[in-house]
Parts: sequence; C-alpha cells; structure tokens
Amino acid sequence: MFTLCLPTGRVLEETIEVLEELDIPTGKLRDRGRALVIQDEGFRFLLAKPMDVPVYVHYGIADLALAGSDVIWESGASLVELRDTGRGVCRIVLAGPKKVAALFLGHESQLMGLRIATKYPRIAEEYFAERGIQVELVHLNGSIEMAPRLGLSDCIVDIVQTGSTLRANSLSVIAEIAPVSLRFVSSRKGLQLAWDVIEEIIGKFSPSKKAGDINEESL
Amino acid sequence: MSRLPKGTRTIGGVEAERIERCRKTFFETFSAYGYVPFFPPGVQLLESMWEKFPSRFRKRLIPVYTPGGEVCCLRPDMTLAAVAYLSTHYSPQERPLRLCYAGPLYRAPIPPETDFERIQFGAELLGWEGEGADVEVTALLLRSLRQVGIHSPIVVLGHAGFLRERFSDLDRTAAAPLMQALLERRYDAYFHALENSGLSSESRKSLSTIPRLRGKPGSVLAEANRQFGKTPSLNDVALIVDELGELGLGENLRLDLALARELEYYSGPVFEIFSGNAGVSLGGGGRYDGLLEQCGIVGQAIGFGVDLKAVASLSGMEGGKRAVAWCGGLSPKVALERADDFISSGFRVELSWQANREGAIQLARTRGYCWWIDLPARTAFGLKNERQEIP
Repeated sequence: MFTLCLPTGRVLEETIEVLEELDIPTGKLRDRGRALVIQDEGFRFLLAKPMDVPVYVHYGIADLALAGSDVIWESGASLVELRDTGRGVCRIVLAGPKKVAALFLGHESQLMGLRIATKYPRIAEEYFAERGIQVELVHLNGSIEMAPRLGLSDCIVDIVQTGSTLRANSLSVIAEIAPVSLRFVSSRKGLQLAWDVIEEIIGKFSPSKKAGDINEESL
Repeated sequence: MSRLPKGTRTIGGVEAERIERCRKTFFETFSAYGYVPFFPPGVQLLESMWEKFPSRFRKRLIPVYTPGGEVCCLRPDMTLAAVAYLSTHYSPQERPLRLCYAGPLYRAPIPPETDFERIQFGAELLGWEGEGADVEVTALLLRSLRQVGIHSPIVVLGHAGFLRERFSDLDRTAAAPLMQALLERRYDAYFHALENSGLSSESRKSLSTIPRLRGKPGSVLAEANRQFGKTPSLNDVALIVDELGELGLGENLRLDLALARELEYYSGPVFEIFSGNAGVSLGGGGRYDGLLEQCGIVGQAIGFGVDLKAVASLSGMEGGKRAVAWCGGLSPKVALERADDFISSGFRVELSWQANREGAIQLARTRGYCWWIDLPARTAFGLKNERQEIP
C-alpha cells in the first residue's frame, strides 16, 4: 500500500485540495474524525505534526509526503525534494520593532548579541551565522510575535503570510529569509522503490502559484 | 550510573550477534575472492584529507588532537586510507589490490539521525585498469546480502560521468547549481536552476529529463540512449547491467541516472543499496579513479561501504538453535566433548555448571532460548516439548 504523510494543522485543508487535484481518494480523509492513520482504496494516509513529517519520510514509513519548505529546512533531514506545489505560500522573515529595524541599516557591530525569538532555531542560526552576526536565540513554540513586545527578544524569525499579526504587534519585516511553500518530498528509498507511483502522482500536478515566483518545468 | 556520550550506544545481545555474523559472512565472501583485511587507524590527519572532501562533508568531520599534538579527525571514511595504503605499500607491479574492512566510522549525524558512530563493512578494488571490477564488486556485495538473509536487495546504479557529460558544455555558472541540486536531491531546485540557466529551450528540455531517468534498467537505458545517444558512461552502465543480468542478479538492479553520491571523488559508476524494509540506504559506493589520480596512482578503483547495523537488523540471522546445556556433574572434559556433539549438529550451547537441573531449564527460559540440553542423557529438550537425542 502506498503511504502518504500529511501535515496536520491549518495547512491540512490545502494539502487535501492538492490530493483531490491529483485524483487521490480523500473521502475518508475528510471524514477522519480523530483517526491519524487512514486507508482509502490503495492509499494509506498518516497525519503528523508538520515538524514530524520529515521524520516519517526519512525513516521510510511514508513513501511520499507534503511538507512546508520551512519545515524541511528546519528539520535538516536529507530528503528528496520532488515538486513545489505552489500551495501554502508564505515567507520566513526577520521582523522587529522599528527601533531594532533601524539597527539593521547601520554597521553590523550594532547587531551583535541581539536576542532573536523563533520556532526555527536552525534557520535563524544559519541565517545569522552566514552573515557573521552573533545572536542569542530564544526557542519558542508559538505566539512568537509577542516576544519583542514583552521584552523577551529584540526581534523574531517567523513565517508571515499577510503580515497582519506582525502589524498588530507593532513589528515590521526587516529582511526576507526565504519563500515558503508546500513541497512533495520522498525518502531516498521511496524515490527508488516506489518511483512508478510517485512519478504518476507528481506528473499529474500543475501548480497554480509558486513560492518565490518560480516557474519550473515539471518532473 | 555511567552515562554514554550522546550519539553513541552500546550494542549487545541478539543485535550484536547479528552484526558479528553479518561481518563474518561479508568477510568470508570477499576473502574467498582475494580481498585481504585491512585495519587503518581510528584517527586520520586532517591535513591529508581536508582537500579531498567537499565542504559539506567537512562539516561532518569530528576533530580530535592526538597525544602528539597533531590535528586529526575520527575516521570518517575508509577509502582515503585504502588509497594511501596502496600508494605507500604496493608497487605498481603488485596491483590490483583487494582490501576489505569492518570497523567504526564517525561523522556528525544528519537529522533526524542522532548516532555519530556507525559500524561499516567495506571493500575496495584498487588499481585494475580493465573491465570487470565494477561487476565483481557489485555481484559479491549482492551475494553477501543474500547470504545474510536479505533476499531482495536493490542496487540502484548511476554514473558520475553521465552527469559530467551532460554538464560539460555548460559554463560553470550554469552547471554548478544544477550539479549541486542533484547532489542534494532537490529536484525542485534543479528545475528552478534549469529555468534560470539561460540555456536554449532545447537544452533545457533535454536536461529536464535527467531526474526522470530512473527505474528498470531496460527502459531507462533505452530512454537515455534516445535522448543522449550511446555515450561512454551509458555504455559502462549497459555493460554492468548485462553482466549482472548474466549472473542472475538483474532483478536486483535499478538505474537512477540522476544519482550523485555525497563524496565527489566518484568518477564512474556509482551505486546505492536499498532493501524494501529499510527506510534509508544500507550503503553505497562506486568508482573513484579521480581520487587515485590525486594520489599519483594511475588506474581504476571501486569500493563500497554498508552499514552493518542496518544490514544486521534486516538479516534475521540467528545462527543456530540456542540452548543451555546442563552439565549435571560431568567433568569439564566430558561436558565439553558432549557439547561439541550438539554444536556439530547445529546447536549453540551455553554450559550450565549448576547442580540443579531445574535451574538450568529456568536459565534457558530466562535467556529466551527454545532448547535446553541434558548432557548426561545426551538429549536436547525443546522448551515447547520437542526432543532431540545425540548418540
């Protein structure tokens, strides 16, 4: 049975829409109740926390998965990135209050020791390390936007879609770190041993919108 | 309570036995074909390997100082040591050299893995300049895997030269991101780089087929030949496919012409090994003539490494019927002789010197064994009521 791992949470609905476009049965997935493992015709769906999706793929539990590019980067897992769906589009940004944003216009010596709140410690660490800026990371699991306001951090690294949450917390985007979108990923084993099915699935996909305006040829 | 360093673990019990049996089977298979054991040091000088590893692999090295104050790293790879050994210990007339080894390797783990230590078996065939080496090594590897009980291993074969041939006409700024994307297996990024490469639409169309050239050898080779003609690399691959097919190993073979191995010293056919039950590859290898050249040696070299822990976990090797043998007051000489009789008929015995017969049976149950042996009566009893007598 071909196994697909899907992220739970707000991105699940878009994920199901992608599957429907590919003629993959989703009736039982929509009517899942509290089930986390769902079988429908020749497919088995695993519902996992977004951050756990790469783990299920890496260990070969899932043949194919949909995962956000933010999660793929943050996990550090060595996955095969097959296809950008152009769905779930948002951005990872560095954001902060105006006073801190102004520091980024000056010499980088003023940025040393900044405290950054984020649920993406790996991405934040790589971003600042590449620029030679030493920062202190505060790893939070949610509601990142309130950290600067409460004095927990100077700025944040987080995903942003419309920017309204940032504005509501008096934050503005200081730098764009990376575009984010939902990607089809597989393990190296899945790529080799389940290629016939994977190729058939992703071959049907025609993306509507791409992260970073990427216009790619399809697999 | 003593704690182990993070990323390491002690392996014991059935798992350790399986690893040892797999190691022994691999050694026996390869040594029967002239591969000699090889024990390089557990640390290697950083200066002698730094330039030979790509930057993203260097980040995984684990540096240490020797008591002599030399900057080294824990051994991350055996191939460099094998090549250095060949260049310093063997004259050109003594080649080719066949080496095999088993031992720990150390690399910083890639998440979600956490162990930085792995036990690897590997073999290297160095300095042969004719045909046959690729097939020899791959066939022996497949045979070994079958012998340890992995009945349907899949070898995925690619060719480093195929990718070089495809990108050789491109300028560096166009070729580098394409190659990088294939190395990282980010096909999305590959297509993105292709779109932005400035190449003609015809070239882009042709190069866009590469990540699809994967699957059963016959169809993949036919498609690759149709797209790119009969190139030297495709001829190499076709030859290996034919020869392995002749050996009855065709069912174990797949092609992936976008396959690029992590270590960039590979220059010819490359391969990775999978089993349907394991999530990650069991190992891989390939031809690395370029590395020999860097060490001033002319000729071909091919080698591979497999993760013995991963192989053992799939092998199911139990190694005979395990039993507690109750000595029942026999002298050590007689008890050992009688135990030998059971061993030669397929048992693996653990002697119990205790006076109490019931205690020996209980020990067998505690160990999870299915048999106990009454050595004075020369009889083995199954703990599920089987019975076997040895005359």
